[in-house]
Amino acid sequence: MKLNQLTLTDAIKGLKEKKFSLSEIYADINKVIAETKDLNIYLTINDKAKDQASKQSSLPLAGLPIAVKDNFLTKGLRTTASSKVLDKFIPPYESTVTQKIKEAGGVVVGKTNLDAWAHGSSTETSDYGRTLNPRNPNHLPGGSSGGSAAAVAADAALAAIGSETAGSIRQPAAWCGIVGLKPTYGRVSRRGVIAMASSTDSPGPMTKTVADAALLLNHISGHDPYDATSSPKNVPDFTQALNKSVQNLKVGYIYHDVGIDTNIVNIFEKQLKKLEEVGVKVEKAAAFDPHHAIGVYTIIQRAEVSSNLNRYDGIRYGHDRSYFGDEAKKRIMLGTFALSKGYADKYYLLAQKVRTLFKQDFKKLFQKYDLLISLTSPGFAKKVGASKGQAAFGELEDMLLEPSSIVGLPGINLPVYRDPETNLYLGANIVANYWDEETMIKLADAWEKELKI
Amino acid sequence: MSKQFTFSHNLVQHIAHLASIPVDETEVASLTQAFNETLEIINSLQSLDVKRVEATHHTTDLTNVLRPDRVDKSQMFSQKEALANAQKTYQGYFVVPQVIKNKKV
Repeated sequence: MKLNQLTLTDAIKGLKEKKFSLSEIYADINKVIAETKDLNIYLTINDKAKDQASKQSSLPLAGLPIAVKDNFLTKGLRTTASSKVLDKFIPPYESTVTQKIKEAGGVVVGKTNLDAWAHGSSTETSDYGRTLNPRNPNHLPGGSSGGSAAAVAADAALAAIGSETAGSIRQPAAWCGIVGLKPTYGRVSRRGVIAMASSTDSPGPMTKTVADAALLLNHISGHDPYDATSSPKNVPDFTQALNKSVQNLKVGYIYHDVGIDTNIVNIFEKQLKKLEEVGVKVEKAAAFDPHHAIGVYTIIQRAEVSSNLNRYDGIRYGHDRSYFGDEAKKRIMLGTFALSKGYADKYYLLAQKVRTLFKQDFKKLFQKYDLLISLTSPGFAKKVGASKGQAAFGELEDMLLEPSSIVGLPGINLPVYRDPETNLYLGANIVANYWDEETMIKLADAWEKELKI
Repeated sequence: MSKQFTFSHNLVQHIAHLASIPVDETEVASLTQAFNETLEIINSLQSLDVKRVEATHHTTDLTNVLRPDRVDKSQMFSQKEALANAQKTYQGYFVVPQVIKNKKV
């Protein structure tokens, strides 16, 4: 086994036991980064990673290499959000998430590709070219955190950080066959994350195992006085939820009747059965039609984008507004319209009200169930080029994730099936109630051990 | 407002102006089409009854987030840092494009 294939948890353990050295890990990581250049995973490599690592080795994350989506500001290290507007931008301050990673001993090994401004679900709209899926390079990695998902799947980092507005952690995790955890909105600080839709943006870990996701979440969570929407709630030790019994957990299986390919549904339901074998009570549950979430998200996201991307004037930093790509232009303009006089009530206010209907529906569901489960994506990773000319590509691909995102609930993608012919994966989306990441980690961990994908 | 609302080229041009997005004629045509496609998705929400529903603006119900009104030097940029990413500077200032043009009298 090459050392870049280690999980974060095993690498920390192995370093402590002196089974290998940090420089041996970096040698393997750097080799695979060079070998996978054609996949276009990283936009910027941190040349100082190895030096920084040796100074961090006594801390909990032991100097280990972590990939970070290129919409997190990293002081002194180029940050573009995959847009030419920020082509040469060198951030003067550090995002809270990367600050916390550094303080815990992690090293930002490089900045990963995304859909420009995180607008998309394919990583095809990046101004720096698409990323390819390491599991099968004829296919897309998903997005918008496609580069981070690919980095983990290709073993080009031990773990990664992504951000989700509506599916952008969980969907690429599903398509790349890795674990992706979107925390409760406000659990992890948004400070220094290039803002997309501020009312739903949530940074989170993208990892090889559930245990790694729990560990990384421990280090990035917590109240941040510089993000007013971050929660003052106490942060539990999420690794305490690992290796626990899931006997008698009640799970509602939602979105089983929304027109997904029956072959896919059959595979998924077979894997669900294995949960019952470990004592989980799974029951089909009726939920508010997720198709409505597409409209809600489209309006809210465009509206918030038009406001957030207003700041790019090309004067204080970055290039002027003629550098925006097609997708960003579209979203800024549609959002401007949705908030304009005469239309704000008809569209924006309506979307915020339907958002309440989703919130009420989840509240009802969580009175009956501990967790909710559905497929993460309605199918396997799409082929390269699939997003072209489709006005609502991402919205359709993310439909099963958008409801939980727009109401701020936490969710985790767990790979539950690998197709032996294509080497592509299907993922399960496990959603927990507000601030109850522990229960969803508990179930994902138990299921992961049962399935052994 | 009629039920059959659609985007016209003129409206798209107006929005581009409001959003300060430079667009050419071919872009206006393709944007008009894309917006009308998106409109169909959005319009499906009109069928829902929301008469007695309050709008959700914030999902986790935080209220009154305040902080002391104190200068935090750790969060301040030096002049050099603040100007480092600017396209054009002059003696410690940002250079901005001319907005008001001189009219010849």
